[in-house]
Amino acid sequence: MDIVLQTSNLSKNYSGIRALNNLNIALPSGKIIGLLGPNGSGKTTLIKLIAGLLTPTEGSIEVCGVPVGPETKSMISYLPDRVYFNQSQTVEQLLNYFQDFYADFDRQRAVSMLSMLRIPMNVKFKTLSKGAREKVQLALVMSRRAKLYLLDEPIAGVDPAARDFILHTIVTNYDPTATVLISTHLIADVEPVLDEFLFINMGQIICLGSVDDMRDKTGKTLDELFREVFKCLPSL
Amino acid sequence: MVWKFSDGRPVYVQIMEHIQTAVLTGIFPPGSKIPSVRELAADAKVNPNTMQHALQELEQSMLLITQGTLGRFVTQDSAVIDAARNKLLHNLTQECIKKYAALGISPEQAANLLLECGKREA
Amino acid sequence: MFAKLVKHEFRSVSKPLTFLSIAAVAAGLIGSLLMWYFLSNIDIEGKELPSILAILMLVGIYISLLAYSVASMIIIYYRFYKSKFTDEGYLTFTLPVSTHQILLSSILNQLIWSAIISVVLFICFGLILAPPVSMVAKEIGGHMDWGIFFQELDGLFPVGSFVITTICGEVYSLVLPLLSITIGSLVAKKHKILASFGIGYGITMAVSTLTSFITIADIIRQTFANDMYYEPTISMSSMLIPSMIMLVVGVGGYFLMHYLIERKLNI
Repeated sequence: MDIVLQTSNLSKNYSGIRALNNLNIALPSGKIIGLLGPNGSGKTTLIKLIAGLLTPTEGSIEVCGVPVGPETKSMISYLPDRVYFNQSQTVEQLLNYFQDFYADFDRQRAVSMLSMLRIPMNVKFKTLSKGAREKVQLALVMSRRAKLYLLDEPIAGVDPAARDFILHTIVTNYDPTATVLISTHLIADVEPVLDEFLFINMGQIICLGSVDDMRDKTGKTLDELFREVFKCLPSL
Repeated sequence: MVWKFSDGRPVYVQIMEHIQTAVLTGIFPPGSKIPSVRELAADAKVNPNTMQHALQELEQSMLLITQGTLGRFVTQDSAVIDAARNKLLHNLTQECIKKYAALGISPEQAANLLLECGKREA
Repeated sequence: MFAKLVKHEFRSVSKPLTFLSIAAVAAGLIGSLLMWYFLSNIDIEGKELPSILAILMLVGIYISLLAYSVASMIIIYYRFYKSKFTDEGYLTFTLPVSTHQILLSSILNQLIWSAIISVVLFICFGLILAPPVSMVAKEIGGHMDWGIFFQELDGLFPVGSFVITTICGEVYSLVLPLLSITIGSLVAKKHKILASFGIGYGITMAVSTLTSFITIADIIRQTFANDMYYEPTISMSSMLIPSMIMLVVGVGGYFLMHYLIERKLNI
């Protein structure tokens, strides 16, 4: 098993606040991992650092042994918590864009996902409903054969049917050489899909392990454990 | 097939129970081929590794048999299936006794209640 | 990758800009007709009112051509802002390309479109000025001797430093708006566009002031060197000083943009 993501003494400050504090994590390949924590715990900051949208204040990040840069960006498929396309383009043009820049983009897969969702190719992105836009974005991101998938709050603010579709896509997209990091605060929905979990609060990892092992030991679901662990702790 | 994971027991244990029930209720009849790990995982919306773990455990208990590249099949050995049924029934009964006991009903009283209820339903 | 970036940048503004350019050429054609009409009726009695109207419309055409060039640049700058400092930035800055490639592709795209717009304006003004020029040419009865024209021109000022000035000015004018947008977007929490304008204005003022100071200092130096007699020629040095300042601000500004985006981006 290879290490897909490694952080060493990773810290990030934002205008006086220490958003991440001395993080040391190593994520193996072939796992679906949950990055779980309350709002303001540093989940999005960590994901943005890995994706290359932010630079660390201290420490380093390596993806498949390579420091963050254009090369790691070609290995990472990132789904942010917002729509990031030029909305005046058509769905087909967005597919062309992805195909142009990402060598690992599987256009066939994207096309079949979109037809399953009954989304036409030649409509402008901005004419689609909010739910449809999110699904298109997910379909494109998951159609890449990346080494590391970063999904930032993929199911928050999404209807139950869409939630099912997203989780179904994550599961069927599973690749033993790749890793999926899902950041969310909706534990119960995501739990069955996870191999492992990381609890993060106030910029530090406070708990981590395999979901089934944890259930075995404590007899609790991840959701119940989360509520227990974060009950009395202050968040930002 | 309806998959529900409600309690804090490991997910793979609960998956095993679901599949055992499916075998006993005829959804996966003896000798039939079960769907692939991926298909089952997608249907249950669980991690494929977890599904694989459950299926491997069921193979260990001989309920499922891997036939090389052909896939996984339900056993045709009636002894194994009966053992699985008995185990499931035993667990169900234990749970039942516990619940009745919590309400102050002894196993004998519980048995009578069940017979009466059964007669009315018939 | 770089070519693809430029291609997509180009296409992201090509629809509105092509439409505007065609409209501009149409305006040029109309202006040409108006000019011809005006010149044909210049001494004819009873045609004063239509002639005045024609002139007013010509003024309108001229203003609309100016508006065309301004609107086009605004479209280009707005695309730069949108693709980098709004939610679209999440896609732009996670593409498998370096920050230099992203910035340079934007700059190259701006250069290409500026050239296209200049050509369109050249065509339009050419169309509008064609009637008077052809009338004058008919009266002269010959064609211009371009050789003598350029020789005279060279006598007025050195063409070489004119080219350098143009290049430095071009670098400056390409980088300055983008730099202002970058700084404005990163510094201001709200009203980023307003902040960009403010910063752009500020930098322009600072550059002008600095240029004026240095030019005046240079004039004083020249005056003293020539024993209190100042000969107002457009010398090499007085053209080159503003150019050098613009070049330094342009290139320095580019690297400042790069640094800010790499280290301080927070979208």
